[in-house]
Amino acid sequence: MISTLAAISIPVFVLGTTLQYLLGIQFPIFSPTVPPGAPWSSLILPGFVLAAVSMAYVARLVRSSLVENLRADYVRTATAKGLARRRVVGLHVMRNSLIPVVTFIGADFGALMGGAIVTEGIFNINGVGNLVYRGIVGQEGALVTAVTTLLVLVFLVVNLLVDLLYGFLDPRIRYE
Amino acid sequence: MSSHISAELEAEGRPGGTDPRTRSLSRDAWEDLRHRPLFLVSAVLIGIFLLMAAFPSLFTSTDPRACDLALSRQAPSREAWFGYSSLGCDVYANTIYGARASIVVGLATTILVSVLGSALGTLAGFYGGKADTVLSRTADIFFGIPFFLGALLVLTTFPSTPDTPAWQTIGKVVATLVILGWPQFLRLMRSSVLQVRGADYVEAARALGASNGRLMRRHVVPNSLSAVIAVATISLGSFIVAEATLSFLGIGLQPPVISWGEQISSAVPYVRIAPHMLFFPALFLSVCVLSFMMLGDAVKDALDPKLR
Repeated sequence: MISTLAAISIPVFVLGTTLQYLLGIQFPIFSPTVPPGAPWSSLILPGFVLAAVSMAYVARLVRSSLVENLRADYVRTATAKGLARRRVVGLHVMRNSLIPVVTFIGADFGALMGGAIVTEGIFNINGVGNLVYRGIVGQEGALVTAVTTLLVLVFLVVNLLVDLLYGFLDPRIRYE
Repeated sequence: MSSHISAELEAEGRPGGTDPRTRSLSRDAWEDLRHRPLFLVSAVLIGIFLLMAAFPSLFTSTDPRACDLALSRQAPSREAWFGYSSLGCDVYANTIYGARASIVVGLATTILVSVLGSALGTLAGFYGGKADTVLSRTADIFFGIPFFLGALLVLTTFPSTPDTPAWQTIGKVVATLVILGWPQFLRLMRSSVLQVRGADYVEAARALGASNGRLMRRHVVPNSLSAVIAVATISLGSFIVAEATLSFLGIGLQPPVISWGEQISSAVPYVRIAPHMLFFPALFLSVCVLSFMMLGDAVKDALDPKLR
């Protein structure tokens, strides 16, 4: 749990610049910046940096959700009928614990897309976040409006997908 | 286990009980807290950072603004433990003096946000109906604004220049964080108040003729505060991160104010030749945030009777 706290505590720009220096320049495993065209290999490092905080939040959320669900009656039933611990936790508890996690990921998706200003800046990516940043600083209203509308649409679609996933994870939830 | 049961009784039934044999919820949480290693470590670290913010001259005798261009970007040595920055300023002195801005912003924002958010949240939760609708929907509007875009908008509308007095520059950043941060606390307080409002002891106090103001002050608020206290401690860390990120982007704290975010952003272009300029402020910033987050985590566990 302390490792997730550490991941939440290290600001994105600190993690980004440090990893860029260590893994991109000192030990050149990854390319330190993203060239035009953005090949997949160059996106691994920025992707990890951007994901670090959300990853830690998801880990904490899964933990608390699992702890809560492990006390449920169906867990005792499943154990009593002789299912292996792995199967009880992996299938029964996991599936029921994923609902808050999926909700979080859905809400976070929009933030990861539009809010990646810092990561995009450090790794020199020509992304949506940078575009909005330049739009606001340069006071280009039309640009900001267009990009924001696009982001809202993506956000709505992702939330629809999340709602549909609920039904898959918990068959008791029905949309009729 | 008897202390746990008494704590639950306290939480449910008798705020501020006077029976010497039982301990109050806060006392119980404190007993629990002082034996946690996580709490002790973070408390010591926070103590050091607070001391650093209040009396930076205890840690360094170098003036952070006395810079010599001839020393530009020199590596760490015996004279300057953390080396020199681009302008030839001592990085160690700057890092020490940088604690003040971050901690002032973090503390001020947290206090304002939790006071404002819990006051409005109490009103919304206690009265319900129209007051709740108006307050909750207003909070939803602010909650829906993406953090960076909202902050960018506020801070570019009211930009700071090198001539702006330090307190104004800091004040703007605090105001931005408060504007974007209070809805979270309103929601939190509202949901706790909704749980407490229907409790028997509130009904009993009402039956005895207590006014709404007294009910809120003596019964509802003391019993709903624990969630806010835990989240506020964790948020303190995230407000420091937010401030540093804004300063890193060049729209938060500006040069006359010494801040970690600004130091890091000015070190980035030279990371190949002088990584020490980046490394030390980044380390201090991360450890400072980590200690507040650890404290918040420990407080949250201690105040939550369910997890014991």
